[in-house]
Amino acid sequence: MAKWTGEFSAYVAARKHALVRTAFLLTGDHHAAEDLVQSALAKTYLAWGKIRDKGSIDAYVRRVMVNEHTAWWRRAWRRRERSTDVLPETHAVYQPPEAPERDEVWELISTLPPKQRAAVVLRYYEDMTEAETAQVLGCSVGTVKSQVSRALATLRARLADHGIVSMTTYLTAEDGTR
Amino acid sequence: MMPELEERISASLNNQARRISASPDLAKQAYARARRLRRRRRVAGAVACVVALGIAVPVGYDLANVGDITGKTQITPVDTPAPDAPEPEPSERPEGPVTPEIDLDGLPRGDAPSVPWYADGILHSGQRNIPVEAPDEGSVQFLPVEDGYVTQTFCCWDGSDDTRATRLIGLDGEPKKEFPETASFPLVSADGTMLAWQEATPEGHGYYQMVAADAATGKERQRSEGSGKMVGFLGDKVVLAAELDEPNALWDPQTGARTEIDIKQEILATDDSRRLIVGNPSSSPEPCYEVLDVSVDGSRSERVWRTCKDQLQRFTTDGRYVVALRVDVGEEDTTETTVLLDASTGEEVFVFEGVMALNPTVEPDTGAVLVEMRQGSKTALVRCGLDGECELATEVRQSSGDGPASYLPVRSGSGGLGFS
Repeated sequence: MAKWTGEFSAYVAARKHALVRTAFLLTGDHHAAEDLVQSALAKTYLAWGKIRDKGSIDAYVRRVMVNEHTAWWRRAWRRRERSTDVLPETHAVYQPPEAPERDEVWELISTLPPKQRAAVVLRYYEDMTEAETAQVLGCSVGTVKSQVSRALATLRARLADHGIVSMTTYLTAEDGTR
Repeated sequence: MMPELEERISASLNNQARRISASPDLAKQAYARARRLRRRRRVAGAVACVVALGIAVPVGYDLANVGDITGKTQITPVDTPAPDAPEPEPSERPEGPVTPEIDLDGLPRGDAPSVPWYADGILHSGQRNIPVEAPDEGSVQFLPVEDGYVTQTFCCWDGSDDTRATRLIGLDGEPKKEFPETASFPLVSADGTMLAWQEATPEGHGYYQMVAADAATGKERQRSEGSGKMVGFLGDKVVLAAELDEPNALWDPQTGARTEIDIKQEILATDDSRRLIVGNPSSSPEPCYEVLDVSVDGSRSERVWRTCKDQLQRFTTDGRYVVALRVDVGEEDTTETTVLLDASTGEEVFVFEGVMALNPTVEPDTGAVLVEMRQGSKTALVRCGLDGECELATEVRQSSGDGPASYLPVRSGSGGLGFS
């Protein structure tokens, strides 16, 4: 057993709910979120001894989660190759413990490409700055800005389509006058 | 002050997240996964060391004797293959695998594929251009059959929709048969005359309608109910992979009879004639795969080769190669490499590094391999020969979504066992 097992266990005990929640927002599925966190924690455990600044563990785990989730999503490209594996039928849809009211903003966030979605989750759920988000995503601050900007534009447009955001708000934002 | 939309996003995310909590055994599962990862890295390291030593110290060390490390064992095939089973031609090629260096922008342009391929609503087949109705942002899967094609279109790459439409079409593109939405993508027999598929039943998970039909007309020949997942033809029978704790079996499309077969592993794919790809249960910490030769009635099987290094997915349409996925788990990133292994020996023949290379298909006239290739946001069909030279078989295009712009025929098979 590695000498840092105790430290690692304490970290998992303290942070597991927060990590699974972030993973849920990235994946939209509770089981996939657990899987993603397990995968990220496994890699973190193996790298624990090399991470000098233990204060940065959270950022490290989140970075692994985002990378891993992007890789999973890319593997959707392979979904076609797997499609003979999957017989379509009525799927049991995951229901959170509390039956939620319909949340159309969440439904639209779920349709964003993974990197835009990750940027949105880190900025608006984790309340990270653009610089912190860039560090987790492994990209420049400029890229974070453009990812978030594109995501917001997409969400505005789709919400306007659904009649949820007024066209005036949408057009104002599009003009950059907000 | 945060604008209204951002506030709503923040509120929505917090509202969704607060309902979620981690399962009690999260840490335990993470430990178990870490142990598996470490073991796999050690095995990968051992293989790398052995290969490095083989290069640095040319003392004639026979890698075949390393057995468990290389993970491949050759056994003589059984002597009673299914009738009319074509023997894959031996590969004539230089020593070692072909590892083409791909730069899509720098590849010369070659001929269009000589196998059927799809792009922009058209299925190209020799001189024929067959219209196929497909969504712009979706995907197309097809296989040639006698006097036509089976096609399946589905939408969309962003996961916002999962609508499928499965059809049997003629050489003029006219639909001969529409399959129900609950139908799996049909399997096609090696001679192209028979289709087999499954339809979900109202009883639910694990029980299906097993259906067989004439591929030229779409006329149903057999329909019966049962469990097991259809993975491919084996001669004139269909292999049913075990589900619901029932054994693996063969289903006879002529009679509807089901016969158990004595193969304990999970059956993942067939070459439609006599060979199977099998794997150990996906719960295993070290997934390994085998290629088996199987007698026509399924009563006898024998291992041809085995590997624990790659995830075996399917046979190429000519049965010459096994398409495999090599997954390298790094500390932060996971890379996947498509590898083609000789179906008769397990030897590496093509290794496509640094690009996403999907759905390799052998061109019968040249023996070259066509792949759907993606590099960055660019995609094209690329032809690579056994000499390592590659060329474009279609123009390079920007991928509009996350899928390829052109497609090759897809054979049945598995995405592989559950590597973490």
